[in-house]
Amino acid sequence: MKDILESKLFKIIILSIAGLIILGFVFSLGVFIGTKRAEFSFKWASQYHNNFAGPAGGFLGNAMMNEQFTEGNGVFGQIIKINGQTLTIKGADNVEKNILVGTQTTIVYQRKNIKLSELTINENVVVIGDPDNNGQIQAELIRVLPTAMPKILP
Amino acid sequence: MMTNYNEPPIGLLEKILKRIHREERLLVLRRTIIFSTTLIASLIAFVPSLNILLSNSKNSGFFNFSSLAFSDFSVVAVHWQSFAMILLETLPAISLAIFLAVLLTFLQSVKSLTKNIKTIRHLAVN
Repeated sequence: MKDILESKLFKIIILSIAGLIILGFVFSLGVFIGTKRAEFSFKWASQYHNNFAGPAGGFLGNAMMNEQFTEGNGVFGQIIKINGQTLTIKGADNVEKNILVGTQTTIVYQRKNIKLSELTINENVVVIGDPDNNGQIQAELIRVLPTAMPKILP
Repeated sequence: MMTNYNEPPIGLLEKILKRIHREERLLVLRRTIIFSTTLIASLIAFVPSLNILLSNSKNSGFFNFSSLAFSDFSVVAVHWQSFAMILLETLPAISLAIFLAVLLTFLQSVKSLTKNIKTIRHLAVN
């Protein structure tokens, strides 16, 4: 025990943990500052009509905007709507996101690649992709999570 | 002319050494109390901090996204930028840092306490 605690490996482990802690806090600080700036920019843009010009209710009316920042490069949750090449997924944070399925999108169920038409509503999926300018995600990978009832493939 | 030097009292050296010894023991005792307290505190904090980290990782989807690296490595390797971004976006950094701080305190306390116990044994022998 004494040898382990005084070994070089133990010192490396301690230093690595300390480094990770510092990295974690610096990262969190960066996220915090970035979020604050994004929040301000978002509010500035949404209140532009009130502060500078335009109708009192804004150009889009008083539509309730969710102030929570959500991930742009992916989503995990339940498919609630399938409309052509677009999937609507309700994430764990209760935010609905539109996922665009293209020719480059890989859809995987267990060890098999499947087609968009084989996806069904209420299925749980994990999606990674690229956010576009319309607030949608261009899907690159859709992984269908296994449920209690196995999916019947053709 | 004769210079009269005062002789130190008999047993002064012994008294000084005894005092140094006592101070040493007190210092070791103080350190042992401090490190025992931090060890106990870090042990108590370990489980809640781990639970918070696991819960945050689960809620943010970090586990779901990171599992893609194992299940769909070839696809993830092609789209590694999006994958890295989503991992960073969902990483529960604060709870991870807190958990690591607790772990670091625990390991350092164990190390220091072991060193102190060794010193206590050494002092007891002498």
